[in-house]
This record gives sequence, structure tokens and C-alpha cells, in this order.
Amino acid sequence: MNLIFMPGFSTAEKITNLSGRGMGMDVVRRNLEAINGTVDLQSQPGQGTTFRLKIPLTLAIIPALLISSGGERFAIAQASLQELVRVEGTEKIKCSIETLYNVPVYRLRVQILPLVYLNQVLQLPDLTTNAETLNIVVVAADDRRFGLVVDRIEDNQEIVVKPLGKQLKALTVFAGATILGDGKIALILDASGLAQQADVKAALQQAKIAEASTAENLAEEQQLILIVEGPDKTRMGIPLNYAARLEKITLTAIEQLGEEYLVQYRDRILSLIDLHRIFAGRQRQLTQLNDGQETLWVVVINVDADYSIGLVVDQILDIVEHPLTIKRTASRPGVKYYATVQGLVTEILDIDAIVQQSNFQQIHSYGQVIAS
Amino acid sequence: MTQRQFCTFFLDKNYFGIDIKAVQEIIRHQPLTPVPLAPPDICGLIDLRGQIIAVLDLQRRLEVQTDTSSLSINEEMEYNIVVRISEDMVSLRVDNIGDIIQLADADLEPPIATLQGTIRNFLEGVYKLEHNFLLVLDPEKVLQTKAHAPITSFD
Repeated sequence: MNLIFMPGFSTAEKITNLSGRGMGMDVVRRNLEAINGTVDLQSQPGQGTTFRLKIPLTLAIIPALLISSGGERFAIAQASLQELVRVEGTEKIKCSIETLYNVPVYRLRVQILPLVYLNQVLQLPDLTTNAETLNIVVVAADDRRFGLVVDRIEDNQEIVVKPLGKQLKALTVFAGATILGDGKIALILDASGLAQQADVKAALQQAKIAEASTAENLAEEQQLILIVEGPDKTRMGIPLNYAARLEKITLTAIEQLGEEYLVQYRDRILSLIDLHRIFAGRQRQLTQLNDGQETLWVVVINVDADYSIGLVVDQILDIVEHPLTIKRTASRPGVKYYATVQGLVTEILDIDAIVQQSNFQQIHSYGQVIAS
Repeated sequence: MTQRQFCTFFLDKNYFGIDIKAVQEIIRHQPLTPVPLAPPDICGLIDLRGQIIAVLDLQRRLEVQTDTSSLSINEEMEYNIVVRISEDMVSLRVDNIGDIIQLADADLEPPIATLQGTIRNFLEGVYKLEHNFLLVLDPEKVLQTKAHAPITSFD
């Protein structure tokens, strides 16, 4: 079958000046091989013939994003894009870009994204002074990720990648060029070349260090805290990762067993711990509160896989994300420390200690007895 | 006696020739797309019937003395000589195009011994003509990528 690719092979009965000379398939194969492509054929007598032409990607059509910077237009392959970020408003732009060891970074959700200004890398004029919008193209190249700051994001287009000549091979920033619909030429940016040019690696390493330390800080400082009102209108904070659910329980659902108050909750027995009892030393009759209250707020805390307790609080106030900085160490048991949350002194509860104190193991066995 | 044909052109006041075998075509000024970070002797890219080729500023490449007056030359008056060696195609920007002339191989003389500067590296030889000299460029040397200093990254 490969015979048809041989020059001079022809099945034509008549030969003219132009056709039937047996050159066609030879030309096809030679040109494809010249660009590292292949031609493959399968044929069934009487059925037809399938030709498969494989053309290397660098010469093929790729989806790309058109952007402009410094008055020039560029294309960047969609494959290297992760997302587009747009920040609007001069003020917002100012505060969203931070500098980290002289490297501009942008806080993209929790990650720190080193920023690369395309016009600076390419030594183009800066036309964005006092721009109303900041366009960031989040680019991934190799193991690096960076935000490419461009003047404008134009359009998505399928582009034909054309190679740059030998003269410009040394420019790793460009992967090639393409001719756009309007006949103008746009250079195609190469993500890893750009990263190299802008020295993103160094920037990223720095960012990584910072990221690690911020992550640590985040774990330490930024916690979601459930703010509740405890006895005597004290503000108390419960780290939200302890709280499984918040429930409103009607008093009639509470059963008393000796000194303990229990609630049947989702096929298990929830033993209630009253903050009043812990902090104010008041033995309240939970089934029959004086002030005519009919429901109780309960913070359900999962102690282990099949045992939960319910912390009885007066009010659920808020959930805030707040740096847990210790303002003063605690002065009474059951409290970890004091912190200012939303400008008010809040007692951050030591849940583990409270659970211990209420001697849940004992109650646990109680619960099992009742359940059985 | 073997004869060679040369495509002649002017750079400033200098008369140059390039073997016609290396010349694919001569075109007028084309809209240029600049290439950031490119070496200074590359003025940009042009679209030649769907093929993207680089335009070399021959004056810069050869480091021919440039009169400030010639800088004001109207861009539209420029010519591009598209030179092709095997698969490598480059367009040379020149000031003006001369005739195609035919000269005998044997008359080619080596570059003038006292000729200094970069231009010497690109010359194949020199023809003594009646009124002036024809500097014959070696297209391969012209197209050869100069050993550019590696592009330094920013710190």
C-alpha cells in the first residue's frame, strides 16, 4: 500500500502534462515528514480508504486568548491559562496588590500569586497609569504559576501557529506568531519563556515561603469563631471547627435523668451541658426555665464518632473570622483566653476542658443504658 | 567564463549586490509588527502571503554609517528584499533598489584589505565598476544568526 507514496507510481491510463504522473502522494508525504508529521492510510477493497494526516501541534490551530499590552497585541495559548481575574476601581487595585520582598503579588483566594507585568517584561511603554481595571491572566507554566498583568483582554480565538524564523529563535518569550483576522500579526507568548524572562521562579519561591508562613499564621490566627451569649450576658467564642451543628431545642424534648439533661437527637442521646452551671455555678432546671422560655439554643459538639454533647447557650450571636490573638490568659476554668472580637472582649471557650469537666464518659454509659 | 547575476541596492550611499539566486522577491514597504526584546537589527515581522518573516534592518546589521538625513527617508520608499536560503527566509530592508547586473565571476576581488568594521564579515567580495564599487554580500552570512548576547533577565 505504501506504493502509492512512491514518486512515479500512477494508475492513470492517460497522462497529461500535469496530472497522472504519480507525484501527488509523494509530495503529500514528503511535506508532512518535513514538518515531523505522518500520513497513514487504511483501505478496504470496495469500502473506501481512510487517510490520516498527523500534523504537529506547533503548526496546527490552537485556541488562544488575545490580550494587549503596551499598545501591542499578543496571543497566549489557552492550554497555559488557568483563569482570568479582573479588579475594578483604582482604589481597589491599589489595595489588592501587595509587595512581598519587592515582588508584586496578588492574593488570589488563599494563594499568593506573583504578578508579572507584561509590558515591563517586554519593555513596552506603560499605558495603564491610573487604569480603572486591572486584568490578570493566571498562567501556569511548568511548576510555576503567576499572574500576568495585561492592559486588556480581548478575545478568544483559534489561531494558526506560525514559526518565527531562525533570527528570532533566541527569544524564548515567544512561541511563534500568528496572523489575525484583520491581517495583523500577533506574537504568541510562551508561558514558560515568559516566566524565565521575568524570573518568576525566584519570585515564586519567595511567595512559597511567604505562603507557607501565612498558611501557618492562618491556622493559628484566622479561625472561624461562633460567638454566643453565655450566662450573665458574657460574650463567648467557640471555635467553629468544634461545633457540628446549631440546634434549637424545645424544652419539652428535654428529659431529665438524675442530674443530667438529655435530648434524643438524630438517633443518639445528646447530653446537655449548661454554660450557666459551668460558669455561673447555677443549677438550672432545664426542663422548666423561669422566664417562660420555650426553646434552648444548643451547640452540638461531636466528642467522638458516636458521642456528642450539646452546649446550652443563651443566644447565638454571630460567626466571625478573626485572628485569635490572645489578649489575656484566662482567669477561670473552661476558658482558654480572652480575645477582642469585633471590638468586644470575648471569652474563647476551652471546649476540651468543658467536655472533660462534664465527665462525659459517665454520661456516655448512661446514654447507652437508656438506648438499650 | 561564468557569469553571475546580482540584485543591486543602496544603503545610504553605498552600492551593494546580492546573488540573485538567493533572492526570492522584492517587495515594497509592508506594515511591520514590532517584536519586543528582539535584537536591534530586527525591525519586526511582516506577513508575506501568510508566511511570517522577520525584517532585518540591513543598515544596522552591517553597521553602515548612517547619515541622519537618510533617517528621514519616507518609509513608503523603502524596499524589502526577501532572501531565502533553503527554508530560512528573511526580508532585508534597504533604501533603494538598483538594476540587476551581470558580472563575471573572475572579476570578483576580495574585500578591500583596509575595510574595517562589521561589514567585512558579511562580504563575499568587491567588484570594481566603472564609476563605483559593488559590495557583494554573502547571503548566508547575512542570514546567520549573530551571536547575540544572551538576553538578560530582570532582577
